[in-house]
Amino acid sequence: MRIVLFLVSITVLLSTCSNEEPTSEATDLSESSTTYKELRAKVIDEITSQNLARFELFESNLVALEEALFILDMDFNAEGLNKARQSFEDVMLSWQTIEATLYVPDDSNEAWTISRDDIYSWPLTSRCRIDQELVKKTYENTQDLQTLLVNATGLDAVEYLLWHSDENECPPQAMVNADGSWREISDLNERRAKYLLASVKLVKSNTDTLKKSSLMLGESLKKTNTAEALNVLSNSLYYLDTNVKDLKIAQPLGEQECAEDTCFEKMELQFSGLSLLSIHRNLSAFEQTFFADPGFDDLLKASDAADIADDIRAALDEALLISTQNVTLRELHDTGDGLRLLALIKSITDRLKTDFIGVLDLELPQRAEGDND
Amino acid sequence: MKNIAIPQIDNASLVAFRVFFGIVAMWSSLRFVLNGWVERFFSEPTYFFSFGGFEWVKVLPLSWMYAAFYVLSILGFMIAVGFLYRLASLLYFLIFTYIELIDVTNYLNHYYLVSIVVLMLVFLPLNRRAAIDVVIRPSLYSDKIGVHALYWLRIQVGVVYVFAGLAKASSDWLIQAQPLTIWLRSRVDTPIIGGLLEYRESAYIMSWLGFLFDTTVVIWLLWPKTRKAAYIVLVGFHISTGLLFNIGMFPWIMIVAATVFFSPNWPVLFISGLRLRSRKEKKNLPNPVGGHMRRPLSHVLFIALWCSFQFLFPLRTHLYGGNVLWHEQGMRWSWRVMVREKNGSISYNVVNEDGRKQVVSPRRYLTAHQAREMSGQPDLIAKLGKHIGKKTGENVRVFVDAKVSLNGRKPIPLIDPKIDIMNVDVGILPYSWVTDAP
Repeated sequence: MRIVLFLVSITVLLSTCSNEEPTSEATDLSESSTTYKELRAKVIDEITSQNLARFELFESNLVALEEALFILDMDFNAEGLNKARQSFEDVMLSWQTIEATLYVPDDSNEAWTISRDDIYSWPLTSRCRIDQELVKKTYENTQDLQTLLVNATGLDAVEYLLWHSDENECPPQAMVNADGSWREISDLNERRAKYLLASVKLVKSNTDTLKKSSLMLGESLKKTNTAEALNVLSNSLYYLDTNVKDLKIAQPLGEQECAEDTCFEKMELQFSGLSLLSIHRNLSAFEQTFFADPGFDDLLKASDAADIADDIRAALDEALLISTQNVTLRELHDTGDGLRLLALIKSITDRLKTDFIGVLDLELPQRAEGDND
Repeated sequence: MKNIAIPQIDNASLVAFRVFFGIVAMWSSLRFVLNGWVERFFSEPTYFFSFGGFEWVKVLPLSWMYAAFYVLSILGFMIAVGFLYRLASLLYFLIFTYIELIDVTNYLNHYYLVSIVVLMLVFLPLNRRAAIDVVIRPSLYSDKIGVHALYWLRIQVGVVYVFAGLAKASSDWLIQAQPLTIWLRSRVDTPIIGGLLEYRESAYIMSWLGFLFDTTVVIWLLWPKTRKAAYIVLVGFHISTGLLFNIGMFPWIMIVAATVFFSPNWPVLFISGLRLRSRKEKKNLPNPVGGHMRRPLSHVLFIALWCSFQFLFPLRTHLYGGNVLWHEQGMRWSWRVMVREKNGSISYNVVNEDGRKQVVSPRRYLTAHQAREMSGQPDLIAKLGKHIGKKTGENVRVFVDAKVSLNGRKPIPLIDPKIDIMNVDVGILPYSWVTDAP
């Protein structure tokens, strides 16, 4: 009896010392008919099931682009080029959805033969390197093209080649300029068309491999339904942090890694003008994963932390609205909304890196395994 | 100095402790190599967080670091078999402590415990029995040891349990059952008990049991009547926490360490028990307990000083006030194990002399592991901020945007975002630049 009284007194005493409660009030899971494990299984099932349709759309867009480039290769003209550019926009925007939802395990470099960079290597793209390959006609041999570094192939190379001017982007001392080989090219457009066609074929082949790996992983995650499986899926959410917030917005707007007021030369998809639309697609993809039915928001609700999902919903809605404008990121910045978009996305990623992983007991991507105590 | 008479006891228990500890020490070092952690923790980082006063400790080239871990494994084996025992203990202490001092983000309470215990071994003559040293020098043999040695180890192990228990006497742990509620719900895949972990009630029960276990287990281990049962519970507790949480060698270290609470001659009784069947035969076993040995008073004073430090040092956080889980002053070397789930989103706003602002991510300087560990520790956040400031140039101001969540709470700034981190003190004085706990 004394022990009970002692425990009760300690409880009362400590409750008076408590300030804010660690999590908000909500229904206890024990009152719900669905267990957390069952809910998690449904979340994993739902999110992994979204993958196939995304890849199928991307692949059908790739086929359309390949056809447009095939026609362009037969007869290089302005109309054909425009059609190819339009097809490219569809391809790129469908890729942006895949890219932002591509969940990969931390050790994927060893396990997967094809990575995201093999399809779209931005911001690693080397325009001079692409120009050099145009001179060398590397694209004529599929094997040679496959062995090129990722920064001269993929959808980023396709964008550059589709909007290419007659000048190259190599410094004067580079071989193609120093030895005059660039100036000697008389069939630049024909070369571009062939390079484009070969690049898209390579992207198609790489996509097939990536799709198989991704779908296989999805099936394996579904079967295991473990905390680790959920962790792998959550990795894709952090695309919003390093890629969208830092690389796509903060750097071009001059907030990060930029020596001038702005660094729009670092902007993604600056030739096609899709810089803002790609961000919009990334945000939509994030929404599809986070607010899937059921999604991470439901796991948060089941963990008495609906406020996290609500706050992310509010910030995401505003960010989606801003990014839906039919302008580039540079134009958005001129209107003053660029920094607002950055702040909104940061408010989301702040939550992803703090109470979101805390409440769901997840690990950030690429965190080395180690002991705790 | 004056000698004093100290009661002597059978040294079998402590010798067994030496053997078990040596094996654990050997395995601890080997698994670092086997898990690829040597490269991850000592080669991949480009910046290391130094401990105050130990800035001179630098990481060695990777091949040397690998060599250090291999040597540690060998030294652990030497301790276990009692070969050049004191030298092996001293070298193990020096190399292991050196490794721990390289980077604060690698700090763990049980690594600190390993350093302390192996340093104690340097002073304890546990190579006088069941040791190769005795085979080489038979004159070393003894089956007795001063009782002070036993109490020294018991107090040290007891301090770990008691302070780990007291650290749980908080509203988060006992009233909110946090962070166990968070941690258990993600472990519903655990065999057999997984289904139970869904429920908040399980977290409450485990929080209270954990608190009561840590604070009282020493009493039950000291009382002969409850000792066996207490040890069985202890083994069950550590194995289950080891299965549930990623706490490495900690359970095994504590399972081994708690054997010091057994009767001093328990290994003799245990081995004899396997051979002798009758109670009478067991009773007639020789018992070396009895008599006294003379030891310098300085030995006892040294142990008293050591124990006083171990009692007082973990309490230093109370001098700072506030919530130690938030400001972390007094967090390390205080046995506050598994009491917080803390996650931060950190970025630095670096303002140049000309007023231009740039946002710098910690990931530019840190590995993912370091960034994760740093994100909840104000001193490390400030140290990296100062480093970034120095790297950027002169007259640079650095402001920290540190949103931190403690035990699932909504994140709030950990550090006052208006304070230039270049001007703050990261010593032992209270951190006025850290905000109040949520």
